[in-house]
Amino acid sequence: MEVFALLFDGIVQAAAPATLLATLFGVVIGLLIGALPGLGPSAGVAIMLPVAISLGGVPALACLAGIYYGSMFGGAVTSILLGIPGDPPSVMTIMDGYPMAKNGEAGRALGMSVFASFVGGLIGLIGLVTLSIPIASAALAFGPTEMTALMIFALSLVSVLGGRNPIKGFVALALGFWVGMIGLDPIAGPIRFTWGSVNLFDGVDFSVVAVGLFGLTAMFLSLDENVSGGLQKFKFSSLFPRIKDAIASRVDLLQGSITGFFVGVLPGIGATAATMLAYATSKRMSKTPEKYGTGIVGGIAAPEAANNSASYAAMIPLFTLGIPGSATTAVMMAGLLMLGLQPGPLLFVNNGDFIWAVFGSFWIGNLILVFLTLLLTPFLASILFIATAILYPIIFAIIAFGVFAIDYSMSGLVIALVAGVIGLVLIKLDYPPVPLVLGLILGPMLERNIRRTMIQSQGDLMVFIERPIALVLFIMTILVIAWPMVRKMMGGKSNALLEDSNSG
Amino acid sequence: MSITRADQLFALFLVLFGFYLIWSGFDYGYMNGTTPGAGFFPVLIGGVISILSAFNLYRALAGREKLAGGVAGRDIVKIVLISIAFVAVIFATPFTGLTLSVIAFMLAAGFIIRPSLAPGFLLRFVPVAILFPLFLRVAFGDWLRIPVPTGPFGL
Repeated sequence: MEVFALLFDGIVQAAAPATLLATLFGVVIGLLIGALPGLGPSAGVAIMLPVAISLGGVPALACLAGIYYGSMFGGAVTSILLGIPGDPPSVMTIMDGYPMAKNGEAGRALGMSVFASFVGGLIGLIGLVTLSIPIASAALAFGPTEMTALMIFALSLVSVLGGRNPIKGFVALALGFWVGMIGLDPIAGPIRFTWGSVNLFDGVDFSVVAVGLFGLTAMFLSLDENVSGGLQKFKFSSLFPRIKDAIASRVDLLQGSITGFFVGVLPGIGATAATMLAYATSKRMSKTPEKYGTGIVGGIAAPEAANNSASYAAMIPLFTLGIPGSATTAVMMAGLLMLGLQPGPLLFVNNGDFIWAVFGSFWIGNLILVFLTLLLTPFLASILFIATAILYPIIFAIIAFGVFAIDYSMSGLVIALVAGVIGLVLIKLDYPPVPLVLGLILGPMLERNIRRTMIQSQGDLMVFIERPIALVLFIMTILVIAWPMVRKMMGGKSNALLEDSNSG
Repeated sequence: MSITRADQLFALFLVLFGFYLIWSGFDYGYMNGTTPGAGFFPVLIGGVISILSAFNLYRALAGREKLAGGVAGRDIVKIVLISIAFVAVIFATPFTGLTLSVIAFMLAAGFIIRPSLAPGFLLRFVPVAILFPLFLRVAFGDWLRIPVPTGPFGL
C-alpha cells in the first residue's frame, strides 16, 4: 500500500503546471513522430533529447516519457488508417485495424486502440510501481539458454499466425529468418548475404521491411479500387469509438497487458515480440479464431495493450538496475545521466521524490493521451475519405521521407520497394506475410542465443534441459504444440461416443 | 501467365534458393569446433525452405493448391509504373534533392493511379502534390533536424 501512497504523492507533484505542460508537449510530439512511418519511439526520444533536457528536473523526464508512450500510440494511427506501421510494435495492429478502417470503422478501431493503450499503460504502470525490484531480479536470471527457450515458446505460440496453408506459413517464417541473417554475423564475424553491398553490412532494418511489406503491398493491392476518386461510404457514427467494444474485449485487454508486461521487462526482447505474442495468444484463446485478420476489435485490443504495457515494463530494468533493455530506454538512460541521476538500485533511495513524480507524470500522460486522441479520432479517421488518387501519392511521399529518416540513406527506399513487390507476390501466391516479419524479429534473437548457449556449454545440448526456467518453457512449448492435437483427438472420441449413444 | 503457373515457378525458385542458402552456409562455416558457426543457421534454414518448397511444388503440380485470382494486366502496368517512378526518386534525389524528386513522383503517381485531366481533380491534386512535400521538407528537415538531401533552391 505504501507504494500507492508514494505514487499518489508523485501524481500530485506531476500535476504542477511545468510538468503538466512538459508531459503534454511530449505526448503531442510523440503522437506526431509515431505516426510517421519509420520514426519510432527510439528516434523520437533521441531527436527530442536536447529539447527535453533543457526543461530540467522532473519535466525533462516527463517530456521524454511522454514522447515514448505518445509515439507508441502514434504508430497505431497509421497502422489502422493506412496499413503502414508507424513503428515496429504496431505491425500487429494492422492485422485487424486496417481491415476495420477499410470497412468504414476507422473511428471504432482507433477508439479501441486508445482504450487498449490506456489499459495496457495503467497495468504496466501498476506493475512498474509494485513489482519493479523482484521482476528486475528475475529478468536477470534470463541468460541465453532461457532466451532461446522463450524464443522457441514464442514461435510455438505464433504458429497460428500462418495463413490457409501452414506449409507456406513456415516457408514465409524461414524467409524472415533468412532476411534477419543478412549483414555482419554478430558472433563469428563474417558478412552474410550482402552480395558486396556496403548498405547491407548492418543488416536489414525491420521498420523498412515492414513499411514495404505492409504499406506498399497494401497500396499495390488496392490500386484497382476506388480510383475514380469516389469517396468511401461511411456513417458519421463510424468516426467515433465505442465503449461496448472495450467491455467486450476485456479478456484480450487483460491478457495483452500481462503478456506485454512480462515480455517487455526482458532486456533485448522488446515490445514488438510482446505484441506478436499477445495477438497470437488472443487468437488461440478466441472461440472464433477464423475472424482474426478480417477486422475485429479483439485483434486490436491485445497487441495495443501489450505494446503500452511493455513500454512501461521496459523501464523496470532501467530504473532498478541501470540496464537499458531497448534502444529507447538506452536514450532515456542518457537523459537520466544528463540530469545528474545514476539509474540503479540506489535511485529510489537517493532520488525517491524525483522518481515517484516521474511515475506520476506517466499516469497523467496516459490520461492526456486518451483525451487527446479521443478528441482527434474523428479528424484522423476522416483521412480515409480522401480520394485514392490523392491519398496514395501522399502516403508514398510520407514513406519516402520516413524511410530516409531511419538511416539517412536512400538504400532504405530500395529495400522498402523490394519488400513491397515481394509482399505482393507472397500475398497473391497465398504466402502469409506476418510469419516473415515474425522470423525477421525473432530469428536473429534465436540464432544469437542458441549460439551463445552452445559456446557457453561447449556444445553440450543438455544445457537446454538442465536449467529450470528453460525446462519449464520447453514443456510449455510442447503443451502448446500438442494441445490442438489432443483437443482434436478428444473431440473425435466424444463425437464417436455421441454417435454410439445415438445409434444405441 | 496463370496464377497456378506462377505458384509452381515460385515454389521451384524457393527450392533452388534453399540450396543456395545451404551452399552459402557451408561456405561461411557450418561448425566452429563444437559450437555452431556462422553458416549453421543458413544451412538449417536453407534446408527447411528447400524441403517445404519441394512439398509446395508437388502440391501445386498435383493441382492441390487452389489460388484465388491473379492481378489484372492493367493493375500490373500501374504497379510497374509506380515502382519505376519510385526507383526514379532514388536515382534523382542526389541531384534534385528529396523534396523536388518527391513532388515529381507525387504528380506521376497521381496520374498513374487516375489518368485524368478533369479540372476538379487537377485543382485538388496538383496543389497537394506541390505543397505536401514542402511541408514534409519543413517537418523532417527543420523540426526533426534530419539531414534531408537538398538540391536546387535549397529544397
